[in-house]
Amino acid sequence: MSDPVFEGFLKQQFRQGMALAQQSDLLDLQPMDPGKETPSRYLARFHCKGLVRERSGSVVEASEFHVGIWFPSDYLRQVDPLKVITWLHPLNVWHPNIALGLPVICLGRIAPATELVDLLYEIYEVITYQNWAPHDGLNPEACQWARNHQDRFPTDRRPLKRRTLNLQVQDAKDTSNPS
Amino acid sequence: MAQEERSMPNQPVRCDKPLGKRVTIVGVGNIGSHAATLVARGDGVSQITLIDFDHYEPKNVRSQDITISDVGRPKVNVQTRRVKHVNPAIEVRTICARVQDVPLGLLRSDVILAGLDSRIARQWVNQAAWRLGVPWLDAAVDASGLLVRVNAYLPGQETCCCECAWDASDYAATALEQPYPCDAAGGGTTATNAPAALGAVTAGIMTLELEKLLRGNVDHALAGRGVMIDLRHHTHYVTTLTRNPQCRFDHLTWRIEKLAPPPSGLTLGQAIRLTTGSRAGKSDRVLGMEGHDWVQMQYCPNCGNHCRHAFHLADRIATKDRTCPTCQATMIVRGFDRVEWLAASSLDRRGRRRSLASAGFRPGDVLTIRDAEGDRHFELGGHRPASACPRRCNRPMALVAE
Repeated sequence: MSDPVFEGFLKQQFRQGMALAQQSDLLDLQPMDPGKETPSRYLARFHCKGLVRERSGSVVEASEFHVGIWFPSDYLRQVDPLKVITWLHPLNVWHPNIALGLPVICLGRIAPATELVDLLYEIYEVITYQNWAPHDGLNPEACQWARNHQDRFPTDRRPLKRRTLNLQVQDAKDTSNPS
Repeated sequence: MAQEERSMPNQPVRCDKPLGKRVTIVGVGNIGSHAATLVARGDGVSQITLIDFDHYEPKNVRSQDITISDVGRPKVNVQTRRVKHVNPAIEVRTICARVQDVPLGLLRSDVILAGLDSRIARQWVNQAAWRLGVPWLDAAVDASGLLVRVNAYLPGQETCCCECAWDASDYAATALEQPYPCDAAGGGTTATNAPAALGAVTAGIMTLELEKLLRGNVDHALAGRGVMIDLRHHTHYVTTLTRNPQCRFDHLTWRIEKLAPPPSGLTLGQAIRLTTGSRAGKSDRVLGMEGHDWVQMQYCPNCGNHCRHAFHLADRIATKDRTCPTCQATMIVRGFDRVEWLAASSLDRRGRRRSLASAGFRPGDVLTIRDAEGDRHFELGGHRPASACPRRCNRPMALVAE
């Protein structure tokens, strides 16, 4: 039996999430329940600049990051962050709040019914080092590294949602020097 | 009569005309430790189920109805002994586990009493009471304001549940109890540490309301109402609890069909066919259990292997089955690999022959079969004594302490 309150929530997340993806140059959002009007599972692909550590140990920039988001049927009532958000790719990501080699990203506590768009913004801010915790992270080595390389952050300053610029374009004749 | 009582000191104090009622007490701390013996002293109760995962600590002697010699022992074992001293005729079932981990069928009783300090546990009791159609009494104390509160909830689509009064901030508070990845402390609740007298007052009110409900005296009982007493200013309030149409809980009460076989005596294929009479197609059927997810894949954080195995309930994978076959590290379940429903079409012949026990089901679990016609719910049989206390003592523990 479907729960109308939860179904309404999912419908709203789909609408808002896809609208954000349409207005973004950095995000692809793919619902993972094909044909369903109210998907509960999404694959979010961020095409932004973040950091990965190569086998050689050097920290370099990468531009493709994948995160899985799932809303279980009790999501409006209680949230287990490990169920809701799964770090998928790349596993050698270099960030204090993303575990190295584990499918775990830490956004802190997630309140029940937190909206998809809010989760996407939070994930984007973590990947691009706009938001990172310098202490007690999931990757202590990256914590220490990040404290010493703060001049490199954020790794991407572009806004997730494309901004429309209202430029006033004047006719060249009008601006010519009257003589 | 008086001589008879003196000559038989070990006889129950009061067990006249038992009505054969069953009561479940969830949480035996500040309120529940007092309530256990009060319920045992009342008329008509023949079985008490005590549920608590914790052990008594030295600080509990001040706030709960125990003695120094009880410190370090499982709370449910201590309260079982005390109940038996009050009334040996009562059957006591003790379950040393979090209420979230207890199979739904084991909570079945005539009334559920809860004295809990966790919002998540309270949500679970509320959900279980609604699914089973059992009234429940929710008691709480506020030590700083000397406040006590008892609410009575009667399950129904149009009646108020404990979440009806919750707003976004209440739900956000449940997140404080959940562990999150960066948090080494791992969430949890804060002990109330309320004075024992406050717990005793609350337990007294709760027990009196319980007796009214058990005797069918609903007119005078707190049915769908709550009472709050401000002991600092000696005022008392009674509130009618009204249904919130935007409540996040679905308020569904289930019709649960009981099955005789235990999980080891029923295969996944047989379980899926339990709704054979349904006009829906076989391939449309899915099987699940509320609060649990299925998983078919585990991930090794050490070597990066993805290990595919037979469908299993994600939170009930045995330790030995979580070992990576390549590097022997402990594997984990990814959130994105979890599914709430197991489709009949995804089971091959071998999968259909697997027992429910091998997929993680336990006696008393309630499984749900969903198809185009709706949901049907089945309770698995074969309740057995629990194997061992999951914390500290590790000694074998009887589920039925008789």
